[in-house]
Amino acid sequence: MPSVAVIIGSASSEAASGVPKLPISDRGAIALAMARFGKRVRAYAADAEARCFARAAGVESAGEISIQEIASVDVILIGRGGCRELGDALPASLAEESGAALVYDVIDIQAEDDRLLVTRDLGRGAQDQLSVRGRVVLVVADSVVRGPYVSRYRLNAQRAADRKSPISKNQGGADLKGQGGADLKGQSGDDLTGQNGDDSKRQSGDELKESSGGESSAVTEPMRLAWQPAAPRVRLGDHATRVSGRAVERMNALFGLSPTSQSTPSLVVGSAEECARHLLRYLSHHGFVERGSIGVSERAPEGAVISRSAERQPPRSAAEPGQIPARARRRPHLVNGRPLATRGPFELEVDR
Amino acid sequence: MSESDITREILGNIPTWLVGAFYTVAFAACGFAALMLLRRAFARRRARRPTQQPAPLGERLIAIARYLAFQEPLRRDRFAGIAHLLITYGFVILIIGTSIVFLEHQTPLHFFYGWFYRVASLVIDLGGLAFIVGLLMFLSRRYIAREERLLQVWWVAALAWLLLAIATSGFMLEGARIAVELPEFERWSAVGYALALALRAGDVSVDTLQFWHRALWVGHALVCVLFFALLPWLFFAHMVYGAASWSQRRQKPIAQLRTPAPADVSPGAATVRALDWDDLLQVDACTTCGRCNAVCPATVSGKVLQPREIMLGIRDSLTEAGSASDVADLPSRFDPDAIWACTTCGACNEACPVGIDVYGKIVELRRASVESGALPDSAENLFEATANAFNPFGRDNEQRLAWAQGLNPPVAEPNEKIDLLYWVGCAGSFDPDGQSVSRSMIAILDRLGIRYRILGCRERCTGDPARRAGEEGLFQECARKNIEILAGHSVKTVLTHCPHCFNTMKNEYPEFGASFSVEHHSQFLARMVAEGKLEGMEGLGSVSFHDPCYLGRGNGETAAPRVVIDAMSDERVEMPRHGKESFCCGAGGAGLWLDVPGTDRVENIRSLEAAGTGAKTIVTACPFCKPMLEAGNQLLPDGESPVVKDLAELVAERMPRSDASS
Repeated sequence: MPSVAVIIGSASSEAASGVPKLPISDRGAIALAMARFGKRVRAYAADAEARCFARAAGVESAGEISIQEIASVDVILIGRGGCRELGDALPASLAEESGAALVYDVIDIQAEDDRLLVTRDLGRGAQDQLSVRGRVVLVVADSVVRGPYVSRYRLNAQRAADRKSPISKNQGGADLKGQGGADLKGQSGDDLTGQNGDDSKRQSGDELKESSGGESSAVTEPMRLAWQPAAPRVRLGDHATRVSGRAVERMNALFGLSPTSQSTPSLVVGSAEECARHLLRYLSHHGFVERGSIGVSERAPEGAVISRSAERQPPRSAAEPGQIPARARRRPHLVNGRPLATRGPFELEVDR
Repeated sequence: MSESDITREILGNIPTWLVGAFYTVAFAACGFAALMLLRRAFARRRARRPTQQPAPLGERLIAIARYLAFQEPLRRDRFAGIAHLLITYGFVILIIGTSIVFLEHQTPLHFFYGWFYRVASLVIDLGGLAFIVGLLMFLSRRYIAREERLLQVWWVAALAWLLLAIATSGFMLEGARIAVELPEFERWSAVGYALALALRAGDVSVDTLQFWHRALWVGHALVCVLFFALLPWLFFAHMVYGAASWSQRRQKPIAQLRTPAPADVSPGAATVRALDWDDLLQVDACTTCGRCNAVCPATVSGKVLQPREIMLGIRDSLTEAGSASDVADLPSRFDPDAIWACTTCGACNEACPVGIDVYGKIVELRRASVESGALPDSAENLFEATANAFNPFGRDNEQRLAWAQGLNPPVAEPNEKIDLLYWVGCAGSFDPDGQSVSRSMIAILDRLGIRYRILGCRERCTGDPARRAGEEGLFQECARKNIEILAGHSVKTVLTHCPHCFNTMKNEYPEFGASFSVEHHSQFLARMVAEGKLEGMEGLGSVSFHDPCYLGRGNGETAAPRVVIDAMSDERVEMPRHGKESFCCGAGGAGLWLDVPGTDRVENIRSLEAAGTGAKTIVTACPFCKPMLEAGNQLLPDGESPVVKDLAELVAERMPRSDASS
């Protein structure tokens, strides 16, 4: 089993409002590492608050460590926050120190026998997958799949525990040396540093899903429900900017290309096919192409973050008190007449 | 015939060994039932100790007696209420009759003769008749009317059929007994005598009658024994637990959520044992009547949530857990959509005839889901916005006063003592619909010449959406910080136009040390109307009021908004569901941010209902309801959608401008 370390940054540096907050990719790096390698992950963080977060998220240990110590680890995941102080020099020097492959913009990894399948975000919904053997340094992208939420209660409980028993500065670091690295060391050849070398392969979005689908059952998937962007779901303040203006501006806004849309989570992330479906649906909805002529349903694809006007149901009579519409007769997950759900929290993937 | 001859032979025609066998089996059945009930009680006792102090025993007993006698919660559904009353009173009379027979037969007491016998026979027969009528009403609802909300499973219908078997076999047994001699005084046993006459008309021999009497006695005894043995089982158990659950129901406002007490225990119902004894007694008491489903906005809008199924799932989970130490994860038992579809409107709690805190348990499941990290992205973003920006909209909190541009409301200086604080709220600060309400409130307060202060950028979210979405830790952080800020100003009264802020600050903050009074703007405006400070506002056309859940049902305030409306309009039209039975707009319980898929949207259903009144203006008193109803109005054809206004907006528009304002 490879030894795994996550390097994250400071939880205080992004605290615009004075509230500690860890960058998205740092949290994603922890979640990704834990989902793929379990609690054996060690985290190295820039400040106590970040260490606290890592421990609350469930990593085995969190502390500080020198580059020399961490260079002996097989898989190193670095969040953007982890690169804040040293910039790209940190992953580069780590990769150089240990002769590891260096991959940027990582959004997913899958452990497969003696290799690691690394999925990179190429932007605009495009992804590719690299097959990596040997040591590897992975810089995690902000678009990484979100990990399980760490509640305030867990954070506060961890803070309280930390106050009771302060963590030693190098906790967890000493154990890393000599762990499981030997079997991978011999394989970490120069070819791995070239990311598009023979061992690397590009896959389309659908292929990616298929290849990761078989593996995901073996590991705990990070929980993800993609119902809706985190915004009030009815018309609020920025409604006008979303539904008025020229069509091209609205389309740009829809796809996250306009300056006003930067703060809104309306960017469509998906395979080329999925993005095309969104685009065609959008064009059809706004009458740019004839409805029904393109064979694309106007109904929003599951998890879509675009205008919901087409999803609206036709009006119907208001239900009388005590009356349930016929469609409400269905009951959730009846197994042998009992309401027994089969979906656990971690098996949920609406947007599969 | 002397008076002492007017009686009946008890257990005549029944061999002694059969009587002995009956008593043995009957006691065994009762013992079995008692054992099962005790075992269940011990299973419940392995859960958490309730945080709520139980009411004194005397009060609880009175509550139970009152519940059994009047059954007020059941009578909210008239048909079911009447049927249940008939069954209950019939059952009690039959039990008393059986006890009289037992006392007469097995004790030295002898009173069952003469006029007492005649009257008792008549009353017992009438009781039995009422019992059968009540059961037939229930069965007709199930098999003829086929009401959708009823749980169509055999074990619910089994109780009615078994009770019907007990009653009919009892009457037939009585008829067979009377038919042997057909004495004149047995006319008082009206039903039994009629059956006896029918048997006699068939020219049946005495031997045959005695055979049938014995066979019916055995049959009657068997179904009675079966009834006692099945008392602790599934639906049968509601007879034992129903009144007890009602007597221990939460006495606090429906909208007030429980605070998980022990600080060292993770919040939420991660397992069934993380719920408390009262919770588990409540799920045992579930009658499966489905009233919660019928009123649930999530169920009605075709979402996967059905509150009754959640209760039954918890009950099954308790059964499966039993005395085992390894207990299954409770939230994973349910579809996550079901857990996140709840709008915490409290309609289920209001409708439940046995006082189950239904949505409180759903929130407990949410809390457990949040603790395990399994929650929708939108909920996580809501939490992060509340934690980092101090408002659930994720806007820059420094922009909180943007709504007040040109108004210059008085912002409190640091440590300034405040008698009346106008709490604007996050919706009132950032949502254009809410901002309009805030501006109206400022106009009203200024024109009335009332001295008040606002907190400006130091105001933060009360934590209501976070708490309803299950983030208890974040809510408590918000609560403590807000209380600290308000204590710094020695605030005496908080005035707010948001029912969510109102409920949180009034009912939930005191648990964290708050000591100020809280008033909703509808109450404030009603007070102003009563004091004659708001006059001359008449002339508003037809109006219908949408009761916000957190004001009407959640805190029992349905009168104040209507007082204000009546001061403006003489044509108030009520929606079919109003007052405490109002229908949710879909925004509660963080529903403004979460959007669980269904076949319809809650706001659409409510908007159509509102439009159905024909009122030109729909008034509400909540900055969450307003945008939801407006969103629902988008479905209506142009020109047919009513205007949606907040109470304060209407008052500000219509109140005459006084010298104070100029």
